[in-house]
This record gives sequence, C-alpha cells and structure tokens, in this order.
Amino acid sequence: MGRLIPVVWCQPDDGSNVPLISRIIAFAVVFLLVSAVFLFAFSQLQYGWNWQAVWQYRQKFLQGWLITVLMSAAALCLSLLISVFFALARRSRLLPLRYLAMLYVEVVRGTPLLVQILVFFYVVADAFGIGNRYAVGILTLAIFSGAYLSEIIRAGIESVGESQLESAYAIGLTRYQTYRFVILPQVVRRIMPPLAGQFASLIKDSSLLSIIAVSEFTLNAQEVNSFTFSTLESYLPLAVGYLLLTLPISLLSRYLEQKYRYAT
Amino acid sequence: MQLSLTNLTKSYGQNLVLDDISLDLSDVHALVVIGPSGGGKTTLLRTVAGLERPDSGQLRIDGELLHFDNESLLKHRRSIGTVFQAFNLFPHLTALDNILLPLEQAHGYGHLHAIETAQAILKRFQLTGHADKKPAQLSGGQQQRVAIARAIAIKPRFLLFDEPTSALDPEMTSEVLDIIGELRDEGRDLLLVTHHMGFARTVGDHCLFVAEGKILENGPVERLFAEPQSCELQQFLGRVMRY
Repeated sequence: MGRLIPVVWCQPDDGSNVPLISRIIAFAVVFLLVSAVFLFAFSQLQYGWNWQAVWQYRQKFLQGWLITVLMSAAALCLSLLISVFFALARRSRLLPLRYLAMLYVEVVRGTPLLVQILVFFYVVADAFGIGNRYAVGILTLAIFSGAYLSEIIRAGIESVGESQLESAYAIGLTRYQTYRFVILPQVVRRIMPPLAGQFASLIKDSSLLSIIAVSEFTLNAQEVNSFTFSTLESYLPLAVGYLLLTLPISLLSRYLEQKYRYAT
Repeated sequence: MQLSLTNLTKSYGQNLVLDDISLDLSDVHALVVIGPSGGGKTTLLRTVAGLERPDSGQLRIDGELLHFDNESLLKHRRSIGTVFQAFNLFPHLTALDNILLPLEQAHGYGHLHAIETAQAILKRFQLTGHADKKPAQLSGGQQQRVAIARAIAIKPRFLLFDEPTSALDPEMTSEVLDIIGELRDEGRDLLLVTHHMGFARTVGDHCLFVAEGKILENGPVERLFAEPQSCELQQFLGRVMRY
C-alpha cells in the first residue's frame, strides 16, 4: 500500500495525527478536483451571465440575509425552550403529558415543513388572529425544529444512564438537584454537537418561509430573479449566503465533538 | 446496628426477588451478605439503602421504622453511605467535586467547610494528588476509593457496600478491601455484599446467605463458613471455595 499510494495520502497505521502539510495537500487536491468538475460543467453552459443586474440588488440580498439570521436565531431560542419542555414531558410520569410529547414529535417529524407552514399560517394563526407573518414564521420554525431537538435532548438524558441517577439518589440529592447537578451538565456536553447540526438545518429550513411571503433571504433571491431574469446569478449568492452561516456552525460542532470526547 | 425485616417482599414483574424475608438482628457491626448471583442480595441491600421500595413488609433500622414515601426515603438516604459495584462517580466532576456535591447540596455544608472535610478524607485515603482529576483519569481502585470517600464524608450512620470489588482486578481489590477493613476496625457499622469469601470471613461478624429471594441461613460468620447447615450453602461454599 505504502508504495502504491504515497505516504502523504494516508492516515498512519498507528492512528497518530496526520501532519498538517499532508492534510493541506490532500484537502487542496480534493477541493481542486471537485471544483474542476463544476468549472467544466459551467463552462459547457450556454448562458449569458449578467452579474451587473444582480449586483444592483445587493442591498436586498443583505437585508434578506439579515432577516434569515434574525429569524433563525429567534426560532432557535424558542425551539430550545419548546424542546426542553417536550423532552421532559416525554419522561414525565403524567401520561397525558407523555402522550402529548409523543404525538408532537411524531407528527412534526413525520410531515413536511412546507405543509406545516401553510397550515399554521393560513389556518391556525388565522383562527387565533395572529396576523404577523414573521411571528408565525418564527413560531412554525421553532415548533418544527423543537421536535428534532427534543429527541436529541431526550436521547442525551437517556444516555446518562440509570447508574448516575441511582448514585445521585443514593447521596441524597432531590429530583431537582439530580437534574441540576448530575444530568444537565452531562447532557449539555453530549448534545452540543448534534444541537449545532440541528441549528444549521434550521437556518436552511427557514428558506421555506418564503412561501408565506416572509421577506427572508430566499424570497429576496427569488424576487431578484424575477426582476432580472438572471436565475443563476440570483441563486448562487443564495447558496454562498447560507454556507456562510452553516459552515461556521458545522466547524463549531466538529470542534465541540473533539473537545468533549475525552472530557467525560 | 439493629436491623429488623418483617415479611419483606419485592418482585419485578413475574420475577420474585425478595420472597417474604424476615430477620431480626441486634448488635451487628459488620453484616456480610453472600449468595449466588441473582439470588436477591443486591435487592436486599438496595432496599436497606432506600433505593428500592418493597411491595410489602417492614424495615426497621435501630428500632426506627422506615417509611417508603419520597420524603422519608430521601432523609434515610442522606443518613447512610452507599458504595456501588461500578463506582458510580459523576464523570463530569473531579474527585474533589464528587465529594463536595453531597456535602454542599444534601447536607448544607458551607463551601469552605465542605472543602476542608473533603480534603481531609482524600488525604486519609492518599488521594490528595488526584483531587483535581476526573474519574476517567483514575484507576478503578482509585475511583472506588473516591467513591468510599464520598460515602463516608457525610458521616453516615452506617455504610452499604454492593460488591465493591467485583469490577476491579486483584491488585486493586486489595487496596479497596484494606480500606473497608480499616473502616470496620474504626468501629463503623457496615453491610457488605461480596463474592470474596475470605474477606467476608475476616471482616464480618454476622453473615446472611441469600438465595432464591430468601435468607436460607443466617448466623455468626465463623459458624456459617465452618458448619454450613443447609445443603444450598454447602454447595455454594463448595463451588466458590474450590479454587
């Protein structure tokens, strides 16, 4: 193997760290190859690029992007609250609460976000007299994301294990103290990486709010497209704009995973 | 310690683990419980520890009837120290913090007083150098010593050990058994579930042989080991003493 494939491409057998230079070279090669494929594809395209027209709307892109950031952040905070409630409800000794949590998780995870947004906006919000589409958007996103988060949190709580509960009770902690000092700190460490991943999904999912005319990033890109008829010039910046948000989160998640792996 | 059990019964589903156990012991200081795995030893200990509610029956310790409501059980658990087979330290806390947690949260010690208490005990168990390590950085024997330190820091009425050396290799076993022996010599009352017959014999003053959810034999340790009466105990001792 070592002869056929130069050493620089391989993780050493002993599992030790790959030197930085090897990693950079390997990554650069992969990156260039993938880029080459797409560059070729784009070069074959008979397409009159018109970045000029789209550039005029840069302000609009920025506004849409900021709305997406703000709405995602608000939905994240709200979904954390919702998910903690349902994760605990799922473990509650009160059966109605437990079933409510199960129903919530299964229905929300089992149906398309698109439908949820439509139903919430045109039916539920309408019936309860909530007119603000931004509020409805944040609420719907939070409810959608909360279902996934609550399962992450529940799995986190369950991974802490009976023996930890038992020894918490044995040293005389109350139920509240057990959650506060034994379960919570361990759960937080364990769920940080999947939590960050879920946040990245939430940001991308917010693009669906465009269908109820929430003026977020995707809707603005769609509008620019309809003004300029420059489809790719409108949507490529959209991809970059989302990547700017999700990539740091993904890296953060990777970092947290590394950090807590040995810390238990 | 005085221990009195009246018609104690406990089952998990179809499985009867404690089968109408009655027992009256006064003036025991080191009660050892032996018997085959799955015979009910651990459930018996967990019931005494206030971690398990029996289906029926009564439990009196030093003449005091134990009630099985949450409040009473919490109070009961705070008055005793329990050490588990798998150490059960909190992995996110250092050795020192593991000992501080019950002192500060369950027993209302101030921070400084708790630290003083914890450090004195760590020193006594020669764990001072490991105070700031997480359990994962300690050997099994060291983890179990921290767990014992955590149990005695709160000045318990008595100590419960549930197979404290079953997860340890022989060398570490002896460092843990030494400590249990020392605690016994200090006059601390303890209840020990163990598979170490030699140790049970040296440390215990009274012995219960538990199998099939019943106490099949009970008496002074020496008598049980020297002249087992029931054929179950004879067979059990024959098997475990063979090697």
